[in-house]
Amino acid sequence: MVEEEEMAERDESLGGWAEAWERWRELQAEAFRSWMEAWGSTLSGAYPGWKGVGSEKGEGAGTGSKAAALFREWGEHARELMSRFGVPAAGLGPDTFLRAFHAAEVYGGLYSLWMEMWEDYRRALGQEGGLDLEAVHALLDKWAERYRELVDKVFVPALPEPLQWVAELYSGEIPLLAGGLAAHFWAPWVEFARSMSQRGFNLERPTPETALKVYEEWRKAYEESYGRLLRMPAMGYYREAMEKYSKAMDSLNEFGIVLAEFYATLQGAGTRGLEKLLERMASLRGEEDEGLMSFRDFYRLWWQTNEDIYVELFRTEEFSRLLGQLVDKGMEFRSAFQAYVEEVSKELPFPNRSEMDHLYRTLDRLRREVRTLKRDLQELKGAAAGKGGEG
Amino acid sequence: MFREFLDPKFFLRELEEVNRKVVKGAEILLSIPDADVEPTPKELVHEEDKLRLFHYLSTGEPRCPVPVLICYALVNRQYMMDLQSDRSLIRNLLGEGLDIYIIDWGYPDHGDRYLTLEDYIDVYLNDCVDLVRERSGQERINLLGVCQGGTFSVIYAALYPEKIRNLVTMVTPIDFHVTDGLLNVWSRHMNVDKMVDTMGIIPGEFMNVGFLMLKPFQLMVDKYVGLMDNLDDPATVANFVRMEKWIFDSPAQAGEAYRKFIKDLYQENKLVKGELDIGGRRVDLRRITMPLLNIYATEDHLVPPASSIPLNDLVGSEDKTLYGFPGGHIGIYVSSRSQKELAPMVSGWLMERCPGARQGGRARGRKAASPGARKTSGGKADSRAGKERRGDEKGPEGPAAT
Repeated sequence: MVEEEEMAERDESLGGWAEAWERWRELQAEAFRSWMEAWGSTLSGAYPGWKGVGSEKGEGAGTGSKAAALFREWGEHARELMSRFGVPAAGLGPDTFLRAFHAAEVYGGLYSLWMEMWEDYRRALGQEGGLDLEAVHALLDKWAERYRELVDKVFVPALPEPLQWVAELYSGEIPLLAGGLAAHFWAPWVEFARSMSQRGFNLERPTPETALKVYEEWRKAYEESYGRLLRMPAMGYYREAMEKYSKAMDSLNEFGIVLAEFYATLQGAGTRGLEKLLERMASLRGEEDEGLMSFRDFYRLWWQTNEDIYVELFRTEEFSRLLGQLVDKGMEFRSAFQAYVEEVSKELPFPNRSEMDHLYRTLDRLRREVRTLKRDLQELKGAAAGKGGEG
Repeated sequence: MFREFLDPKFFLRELEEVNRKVVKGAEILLSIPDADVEPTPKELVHEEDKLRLFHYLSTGEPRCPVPVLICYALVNRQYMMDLQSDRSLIRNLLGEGLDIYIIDWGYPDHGDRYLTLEDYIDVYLNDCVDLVRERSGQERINLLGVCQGGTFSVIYAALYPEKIRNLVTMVTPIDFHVTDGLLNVWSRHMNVDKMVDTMGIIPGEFMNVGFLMLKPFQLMVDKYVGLMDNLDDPATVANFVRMEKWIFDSPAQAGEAYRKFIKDLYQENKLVKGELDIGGRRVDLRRITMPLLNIYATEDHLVPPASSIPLNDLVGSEDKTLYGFPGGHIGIYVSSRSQKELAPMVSGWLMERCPGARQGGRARGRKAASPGARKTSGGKADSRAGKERRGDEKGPEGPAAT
């Protein structure tokens, strides 16, 4: 009792500071816990294996809102705390503090908006049955509406009236369009990722067949996204260089896809070679010498078995076609890259391949002309000599 | 179970042997001089662009006044036929009393990308034939074509039969639509237009990748492991190094000529169909009426026998011989069996058909054709020779075509 009285007396003497301090401490603890929960939820959303604070509650959603709420709570408390400092100097005090934090709230609002958008988006991607682009667009619409509200409330009043339409423009249609475009761009990759996870693609033991399927789907995603981007017509001062660069990169990707298929096919033959080798070794065990062989015998068996398997593969029409494609794609890349190199090096003081080819073509034509003229001259000389003889 | 695991003495003996060979081999490789090739003396008699025509110097008068012009392939170098003094078809043919010229096509560079098949056959080869005719005073000469050079020689003989007395083809692709050869299968799906348009000339290294893939483990692994077995033998190492030099001494292919060769022959098989056009003239193999000696290698992985053998059925010659040499594409020139048999066989066949041939040389008193040859007249070519002897000595093989 005496102790409580002493504390009350001390609090009184401190002008309420003890109570304020205690509340501050509690708030800090709460803030820390809330932040950890918020981060835990964020991490558990991004990484399903994460077991951070809050993840066991299954609170993956609403991270942004929680963070914003926490921020607001902290701001209010700080303002209240400031009011206890007594009479502020002119221009300072809780109002000033509030105004300072009002700016921060704008960013907090934006942050919440982005976070909510991301969470909605993530939920849409995680739905069963494939990515629903319409659902994504609906989300974008909803998000755009809220974004517009925010801009109207915060940014538009800050601009002079003749310029307020700019903020409105960038708060509605354009982000919506850009978001839709981005959704279309990423959709093939989301599908690709979903397909991989549904397939249960096991990275620990990829077989050539699974690898081929992966490449096939990767190629589809590429064709529908980056492929289209790289094939998009370039514009402006660097149009030619950019277009050639894009074409080279696109053809390099195309080459890489076929190359991967080529290697997967070779790897498949290697696997079959190993299986065949094991079969042969097993069959040797039944023979008289109980399969006793030297390293040298084993080596011979190894390379001859593999040689047979690879040559068998090489004889197939499929391999022949694949090899043709590989060379074809390699040539396309080489040609496109050559065009790009020539474009960017045209100001350098040496002739490029195309210019030299033109020169070679001229030289070749001249060489043929000289040869023909020489022959004609010899014939004429012969004819003249014949006439002279007759005369 | 590995023997080495059960028999430690065996393992240690093997290990010791390998160690000794590696040490000795390192010593040999460190002291070996540059791979010297083409030991047989020769003189340069003609130059045209990158082409050079050489005449081999003989110590005595040739027994046959009709010279032999050797037309080698554009792929790899002609010195395969004169790799070293004890493995030289050229030296052996000279010893048999033949007068020999050989074409060195040189190393095409980007300036040669527009050279056509017509340039090679109607201009370069024709100029060489004319020059040899002029130098020898012979209206008609003997033409010996090797691999792709054999195809060139066949085309040339069909276009200019009046200039050729006897035609000898060695490991020559004629029917390109056979399925025995990987090159034949692969080439069908090659977009040769894009290759030539892009690269201009086809690099030798590019070709070599294809040749190595024909026997990947043998040519990229076992060949070098096999060297380990003989690493302590200076002569074997020197031979290996020479062969290695030849294999990777690979000229590029002039673009336009390559385009036509692959498209018209490998892809469309126009030579066999009688549809090949050279410089506006149709190549009709029935116009080949001079004696023909067609030599193929029974174990050839580059030019399968099935590709070479049909020639005898396609030409108009009455006097034609098919000879199957037991060996591979390269072994036919460098194997020890080749040294003993091939040159006498070829020279004997030519001497029999050489007006004014004198007796002499190592071939004196021999019958012209060896037991491996089958003379065919008019009807179907007889390929039994090769098949009967299949599986005999193969000789060293390399990846490259000749």
